[in-house]
Amino acid sequence: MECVYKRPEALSPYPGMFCPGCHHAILIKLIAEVIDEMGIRERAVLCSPIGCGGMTVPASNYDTIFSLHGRAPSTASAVKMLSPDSIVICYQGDGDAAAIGTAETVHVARRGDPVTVIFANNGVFGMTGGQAAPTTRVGDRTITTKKGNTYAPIKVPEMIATLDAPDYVVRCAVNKPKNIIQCKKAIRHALERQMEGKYSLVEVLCSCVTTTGVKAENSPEFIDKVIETDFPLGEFKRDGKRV
Amino acid sequence: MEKAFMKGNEAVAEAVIRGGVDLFAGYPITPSSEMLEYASDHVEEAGGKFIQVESELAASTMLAAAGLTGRRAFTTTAGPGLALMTENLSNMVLSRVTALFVVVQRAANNITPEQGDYNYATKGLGHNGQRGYVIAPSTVQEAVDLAYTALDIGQELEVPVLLMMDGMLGQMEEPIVLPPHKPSKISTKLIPPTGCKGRQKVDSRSMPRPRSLTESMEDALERARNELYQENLRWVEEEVKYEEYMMDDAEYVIVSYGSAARICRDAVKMLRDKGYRVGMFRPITLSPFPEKQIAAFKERGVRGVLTVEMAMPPMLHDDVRLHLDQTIPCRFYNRCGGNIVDENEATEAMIKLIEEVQK
Repeated sequence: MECVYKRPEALSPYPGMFCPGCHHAILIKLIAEVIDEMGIRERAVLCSPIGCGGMTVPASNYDTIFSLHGRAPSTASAVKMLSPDSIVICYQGDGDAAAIGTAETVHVARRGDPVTVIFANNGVFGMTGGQAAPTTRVGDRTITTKKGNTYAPIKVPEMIATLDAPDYVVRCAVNKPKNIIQCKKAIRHALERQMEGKYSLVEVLCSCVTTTGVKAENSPEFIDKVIETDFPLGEFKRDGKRV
Repeated sequence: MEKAFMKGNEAVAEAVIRGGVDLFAGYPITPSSEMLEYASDHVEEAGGKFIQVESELAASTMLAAAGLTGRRAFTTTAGPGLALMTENLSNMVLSRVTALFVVVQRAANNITPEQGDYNYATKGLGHNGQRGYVIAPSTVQEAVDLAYTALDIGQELEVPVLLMMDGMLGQMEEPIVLPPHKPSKISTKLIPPTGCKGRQKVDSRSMPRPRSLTESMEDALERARNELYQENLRWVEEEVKYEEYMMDDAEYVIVSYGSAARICRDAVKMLRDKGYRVGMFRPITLSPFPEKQIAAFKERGVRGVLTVEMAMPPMLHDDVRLHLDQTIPCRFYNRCGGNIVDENEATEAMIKLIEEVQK
């Protein structure tokens, strides 16, 4: 019988550690599919962060390197510098990339280091229990902003796109089949640009179904609302030019 | 053998480069910046990579990443920068990976020399209370010799190495003999996670992981810490380095290290001229500490010990008191804040101690 669908080789055969309904799991599978399609599993290195993103380590069936909270981009830069043949994927959550690691996020982009940052933005600190993040929207209630968040969120791709060196900066989502297909294309393009020696960043809007009070079945509509109000999808830089 | 007349900071950078290094990542801070500048000119010539990063956090992260991929890296900083590097240092000890941190110590917010980072470097690098391999030279030539082999020892012991200079040693120029160039080497003690061609995937050795299905995370961490502690004990037996100066017949001993020790050499000579049988014991490895040698002072007939350092509160003094026989009086003479110890004041302090013992 013809095999029409199977687990990507770059995805670990073991059960994932993510909560049921978590968008991280979709994203991890997309990355694995792209790695398989490009045939780069044996060159890929995932720099994983602290937080839920750290659970990508057991989920990935290719080499991984763990770094401390917020420091994944610097780890990625160093690995790429010392092993230029590796394809380095820096996987980060929003607490990691937009709060404690803002400096690393900005400066790796400023230098244009040839790495790919996959930035999973779910608007909260998921692993620690749903505290407000710098990406939490105004008015959103979290466990540390029970009356509603009052600070406007940081928009990482918009910020990174103001720098000269980044080649490809994009925001995607994985809440609907259409968005998933676009996200996969974006990840592929980002990795292809890395192979050309360029920096790329893919923000992926995710939903935390455990700590935000949004149920898994409602999360696609929730992400649609997030896209509409604060985080529009689309490319901000392509081939080094502002879009 | 190549002779040169070089500033301490530049000489150390040259020695590390000659010893074989793959990466320098650093951030400027007085009084260590010349090492960064020198590295920017010479690391790439020798086949390594140089990067000036946005913070000490990023620099130490890059060193950790180099260690995790089996490569050799170094950086330089002073106390305030070392505080920022803590984050990665604590994890590097736990992950058993190496890199060289050259600490050109300064007096907190003053940029003048001090030895105030002793406790930080020897008592616990960061949040785990773990120990690294800490060495302290007292001349530029010794700094060159220690820096040349520091990463070899680091890769062998699988632990970060701290080379404790100070502002005085870093900024002074001295004639030196430079060792020959040797190639960098990749650690054979780990599998570099840089691509899984021809093998199973590996996760970096960033934390102690369970070795079997029945070992819990808690047990894995406890096992790793016990193993490391046993290693620490072995280092005390096998890896300790120290220098003795006029110690053969000494009844009174100055214990001092680094720049303070080179000044105390004069104090010893002055005291000998006055007829006192004084010698100096200088720890070169601060961690592992030469505790057995200090404990043996009693058998050697030592009657009084003076510790001299540029720090307050006394730090080396505490370590000496801990291991010295408690019947031997142990006093200290310290200067701090960027003031350098003085051989005349050290002599006076020693005479006061001798009078106290002979009373």
